[in-house]
Amino acid sequence: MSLDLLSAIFGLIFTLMVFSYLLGDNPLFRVAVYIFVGVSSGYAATVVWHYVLVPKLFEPLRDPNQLVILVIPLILCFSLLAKLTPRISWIGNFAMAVLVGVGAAAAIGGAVLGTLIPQVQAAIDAFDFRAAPSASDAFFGLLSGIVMLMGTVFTLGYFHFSAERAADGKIRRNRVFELIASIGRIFIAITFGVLFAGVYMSALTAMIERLGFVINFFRQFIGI
Amino acid sequence: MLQIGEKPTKKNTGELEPILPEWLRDVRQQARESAEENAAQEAAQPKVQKNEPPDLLAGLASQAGADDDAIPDWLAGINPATAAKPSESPAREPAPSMAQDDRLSLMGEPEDLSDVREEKDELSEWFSRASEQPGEPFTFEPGESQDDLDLMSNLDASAASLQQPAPPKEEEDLGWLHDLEASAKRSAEPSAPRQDLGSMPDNASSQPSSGGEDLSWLNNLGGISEPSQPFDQPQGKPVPAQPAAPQEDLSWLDNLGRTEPSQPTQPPAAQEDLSWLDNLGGTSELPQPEPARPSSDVPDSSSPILSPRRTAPLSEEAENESLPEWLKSATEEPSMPPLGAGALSWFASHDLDGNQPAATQESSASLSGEMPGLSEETPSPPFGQAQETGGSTPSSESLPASNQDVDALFSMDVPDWLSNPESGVSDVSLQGAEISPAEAGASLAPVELPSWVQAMRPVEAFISEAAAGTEDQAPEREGPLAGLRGVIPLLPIGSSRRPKALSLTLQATDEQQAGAALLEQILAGETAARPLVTSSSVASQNVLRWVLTGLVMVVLGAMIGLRSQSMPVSTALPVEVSAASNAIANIPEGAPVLVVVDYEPALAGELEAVSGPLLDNMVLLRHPNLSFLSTSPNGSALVERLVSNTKINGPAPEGLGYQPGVQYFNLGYLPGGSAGVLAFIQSPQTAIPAADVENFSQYAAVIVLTDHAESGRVWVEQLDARKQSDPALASQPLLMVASAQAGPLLQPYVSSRQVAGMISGLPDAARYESVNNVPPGIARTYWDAFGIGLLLAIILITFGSLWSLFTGIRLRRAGAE
Repeated sequence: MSLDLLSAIFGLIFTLMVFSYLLGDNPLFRVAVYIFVGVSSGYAATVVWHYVLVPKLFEPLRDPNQLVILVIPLILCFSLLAKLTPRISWIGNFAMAVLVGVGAAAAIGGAVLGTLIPQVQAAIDAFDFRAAPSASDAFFGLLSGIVMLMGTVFTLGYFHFSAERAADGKIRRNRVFELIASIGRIFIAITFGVLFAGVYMSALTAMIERLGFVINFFRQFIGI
Repeated sequence: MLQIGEKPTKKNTGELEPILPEWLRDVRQQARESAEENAAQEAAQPKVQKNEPPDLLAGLASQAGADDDAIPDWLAGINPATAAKPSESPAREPAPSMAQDDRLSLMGEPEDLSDVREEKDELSEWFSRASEQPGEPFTFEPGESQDDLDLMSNLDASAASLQQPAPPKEEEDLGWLHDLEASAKRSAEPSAPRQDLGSMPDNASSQPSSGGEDLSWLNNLGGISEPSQPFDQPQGKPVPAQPAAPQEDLSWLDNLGRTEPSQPTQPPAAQEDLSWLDNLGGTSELPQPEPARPSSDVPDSSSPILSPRRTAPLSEEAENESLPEWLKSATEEPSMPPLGAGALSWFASHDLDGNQPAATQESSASLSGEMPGLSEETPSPPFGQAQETGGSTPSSESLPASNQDVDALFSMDVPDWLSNPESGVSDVSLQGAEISPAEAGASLAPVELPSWVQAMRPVEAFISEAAAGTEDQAPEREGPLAGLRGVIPLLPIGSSRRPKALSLTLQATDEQQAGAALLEQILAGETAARPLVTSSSVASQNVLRWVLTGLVMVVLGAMIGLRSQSMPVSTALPVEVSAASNAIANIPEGAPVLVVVDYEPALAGELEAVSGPLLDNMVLLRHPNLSFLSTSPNGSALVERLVSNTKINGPAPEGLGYQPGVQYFNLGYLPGGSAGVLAFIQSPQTAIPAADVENFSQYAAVIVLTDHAESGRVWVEQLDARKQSDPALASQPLLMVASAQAGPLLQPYVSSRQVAGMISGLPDAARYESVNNVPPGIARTYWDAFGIGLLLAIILITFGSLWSLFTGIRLRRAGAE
């Protein structure tokens, strides 16, 4: 039996096991989930060992020139293991701080330089008629800009919950904010709808792929 | 010993006259003389009813029925009708018992006085006994009035219920009364003073009453404050026959037992002689047990009861000189009003023959009404006044003197039967009336009532409360309080004696109460269980889910199984898809292209279907060297699947014939997240030693395959930040192949031109494949099923929305109705 056939069989079995969730939570589904988690974790561990620890930490230690440089990362690496024990978890605080600091720096820098500024610039450029190649482009650009601006403002206005007590004792927001919130509710609903559609299409595509796999398996198994 | 209910024996006290001491004989002689005078005066004068104090013993008389047996013999002997009864010889009995018997008989209902004559001798016997024997202190307690009444009532009942012939000794005791009776009839015959008055009740001999002659000395007897000798029952001394006394002197005795027609009539003169009896109770301090009178001398059961009491003192003029000390004390003014005034007045109203039953009954009624403090018609006057009123008894003026004499008699020896009643009445009632000699001699003005009298006397508080309602109260008809009214105060429930009800309501303002009510509502709401809104049926959800799933699977399976490709694909490419297509076309031939595989295995089928047309088109057009890199550990495993499913590594002509390590490289896992990406961008070979380029700018294009926006944003941000420092990266296109769920989130980067182009979802892939004439790949294979699936979803969502709308409207209509 070839490996492909064996993998196909296991694939079919696991697919059906996952499909059993339609009947509710059951042991077959749980077994399939546990196997996937286990296999994924094992593969990840293997990849980390072979692609990270060995080539980047252990093999350089053989080189005396790199030993001095790699001692510090080696110590920090083992210090992170202390996080497993609450009593000595304080030992890995420095290594954790280095990781958090470096990650935060890269993330913040990229967020500011790669998202915040460019996005603001793009929002401003939407109202720049000079950048538009044609009048229609400018018009549609302006229209998209307005819609984008309104959506942003109205969505942010929806999350403004400050209110005051009216004469009749009821708690109400300002009428202007109430109008903005209602429009912002529409934008939020549209956004959620788009996201739901995207998720549905992704899931539908995945389901089609799985059904196709099963059908093709049986077709090949049957010989159709 | 006379028992309760037994008929006292009739005694003849006339025989006891010789036995009396000389001084007593003199006294008796004087009494007779005065009695004669008084009788003559009263006969001429109309009867004037004085406002005498109520006879406390009248009630006992009212309880008298037709029973004559309870009448003691000495009292019954007064009645002429009872004179025929044989007089009994004086019997030697214990003094207390005999005294008790006489007392009982005295307190009993008036009986037939036919034996009065025969029992007159009892008085003389009693006197003789009293002089010889020390009297027992007769004590009464104020609080035992009710007990005394009970005693009297019991005695009356017992006396009335029995009409037995008295034992011989009792008949002998009443012999002196018989003599008195006889003397009363003769009226003019002088009689020897009775000398046996001291031993009256216990004389066994029953002698015909000597009438008023023998007892005339009694008229001069005054109230005795404290007896020199306690009243004691004579110890069975034989009572000699008393000589007949003038009828006038003993007229008062004739009326003692007068309750029935058989009672001998009393001449008016006899009534005058009984005036001294009215004063008997007014001088005594404490009531003493009455002397043991001969049972024959006891009048009818309806006769008033002469309870032991302090008697009025004798007049100082005549008696103090000749009277002994023990009798002088009796002459002192009684500390209490004559108790037996009313009773004795009754005696005075009746002659010895008992010819005045009506009067007797009236007097008995009056006497019963004169019981402690209360009467039938009038409010209860003070005890002293009650005794003085005497009810309707005639010759009340003569009674005080008679009462005094009687008190003097009664203050002598107190028989045991009277001091220790057998009916269960507590001795306290009798002991409470113990008169201390010192008290009796010291205080004369304040009347010290015997305890049993005080007990019967209403308390002021009760009087004040009951006084108003006394008139409204009906007299008692039965029981020991028969004939009385207001003895037990009729206080309504919740009278003034009850404490006032205090309001326990909390003083709170309206605002506080409103706040308290609000707090109460809040607390009630917290404890109240909220009704759970449960759906009608939960199973229908699972059924609906199964139905929909089965429908979708069937439809999709059919489309897939049929390999249908009938659904058209739009050729209008979106802007971002067109840009991506342009970017691919601008890649140099054989240039390295970085392909970042950052999606999860769950959506591997979609990404393979979406990325397949792009990769196939790029490989077909530009034959680049593909470098596959992944920021997740599982990405490296997905690279092979991707290359396999996209037919990149498939052999030609079916595949594109790419070989690993030659045309495409699997760089593996890039650790560090954003930092690792930054590091790889800065120096690819530093981050990944197997990288085939030295600078990141050597990559002709960067294609990021992702199913989540985070991974794509990281690459976009890091590349864009690096482009500012490295201008060579500015011309490097960044293409995104995103899942349908991540595409909308990465659209801003496309709009901002940070991403050159993006293919999002299967529709874009299908359009791209259709436009670029890419060989039919996975996207086209999935397109029909994908379209049917979308159409089915749209139909189901629309139908479900309409159904929800319809049911909502129907529920609202039902709720409105």
